Amino acid sequence: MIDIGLLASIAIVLTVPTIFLEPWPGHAVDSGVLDISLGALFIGLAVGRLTALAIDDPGSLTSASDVLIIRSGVEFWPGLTAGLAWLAIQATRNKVPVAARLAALVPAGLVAWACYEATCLLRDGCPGPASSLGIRPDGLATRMFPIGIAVAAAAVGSAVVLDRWHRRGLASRQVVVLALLAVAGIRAVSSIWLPHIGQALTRQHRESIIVLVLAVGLLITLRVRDRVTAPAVGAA
Amino acid sequence: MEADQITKTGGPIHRRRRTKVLAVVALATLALYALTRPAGSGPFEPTGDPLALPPAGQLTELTADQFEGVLVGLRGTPIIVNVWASWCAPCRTETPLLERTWKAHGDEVMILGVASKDVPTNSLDFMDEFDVGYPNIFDSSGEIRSRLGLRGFPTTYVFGADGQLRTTIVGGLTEQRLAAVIEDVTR
Repeated sequence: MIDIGLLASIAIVLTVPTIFLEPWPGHAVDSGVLDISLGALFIGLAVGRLTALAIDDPGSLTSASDVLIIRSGVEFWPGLTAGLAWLAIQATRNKVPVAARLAALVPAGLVAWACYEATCLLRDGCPGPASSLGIRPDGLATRMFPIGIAVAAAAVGSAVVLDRWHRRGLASRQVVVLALLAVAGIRAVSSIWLPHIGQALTRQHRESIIVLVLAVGLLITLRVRDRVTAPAVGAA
Repeated sequence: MEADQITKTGGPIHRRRRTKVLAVVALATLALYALTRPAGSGPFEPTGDPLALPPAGQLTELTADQFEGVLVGLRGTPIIVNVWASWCAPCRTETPLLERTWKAHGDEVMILGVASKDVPTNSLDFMDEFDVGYPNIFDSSGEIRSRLGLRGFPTTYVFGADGQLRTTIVGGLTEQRLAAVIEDVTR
């Protein structure tokens, strides 16, 4: 069965960043956002899907039809890691600094993610915690806060802030790590309000907390290293 | 701090044309979605004499009338009816989720599986593989899925405590969606 909601979401994810965002210009991005990102998107989807199957239902890994039903689960962080690795390989091949290429794609990447989250309205109605401020997902009597819209707003906000900081001279590596930190933070916090079965933390929640901690550690390391290697102001 | 070289490259006309094509594709997809989006629930309303729930963890063959009787007998409790088949890929993903739901919320929501368009031994193997603990019905004639108005596998029907069909979820369930449905029917 074709999942029209998912197809519409993917179409919007591919279209909106391309229409509205100019990448951080310069040698780091020598063609359109879509041209550079499409391979990473497919690699990320494939790895995320295979990881989900390996964790949830390893028996299905041998069935092509089972693997292709993306809607039944894609692991976010392994997929993102694979997509970033693909972008890094492509940057190296093109003799472009990896951090500069990734940082240049940060705004488009965050906006693409925001589009995916916002289009939850087309897929499953964005159910979140019951709230009088919310919307009524299709078929439900209870109003629920559309958590996907809040996530999308936070992602767009992060994209704007990081783009501004990058343009003001923040190092590319720090931009990339801050983007990772933002994504992990948004996912970790939003997971608190995502409806889930049982009392335990969901896998998404646990993984996002781990990535958040790693990103904070990485950011501190970068800041300390940059401070140590920076030339002393006013040194003779 | 590092300085990124700032120059604009690429063909703007070519890029604009491609962007327009992409925008048209996206809008066409959205329009198609709006036109083909299924309604939330159908007119199905169980009737008949109340019947006892089939034993948990087993696959019991029932007629469509008996199935409706089971639903009538469960009035007062929200019911999630999941129609599945052993050959259906998304069913493999959602069955562990339904089992987890049965364990976590079984005291407030009834989970009832309906195996249809399937071979009984394959259905039983599927239940064994996923260690299914909630009651399951075997729809040998296909009449149950016909009365429910099934359009594809899997489909999940959610009945409120009043016995009314509240919503129909065609395709695989996500944990978020299922948890929201449970939140809704148990309020």
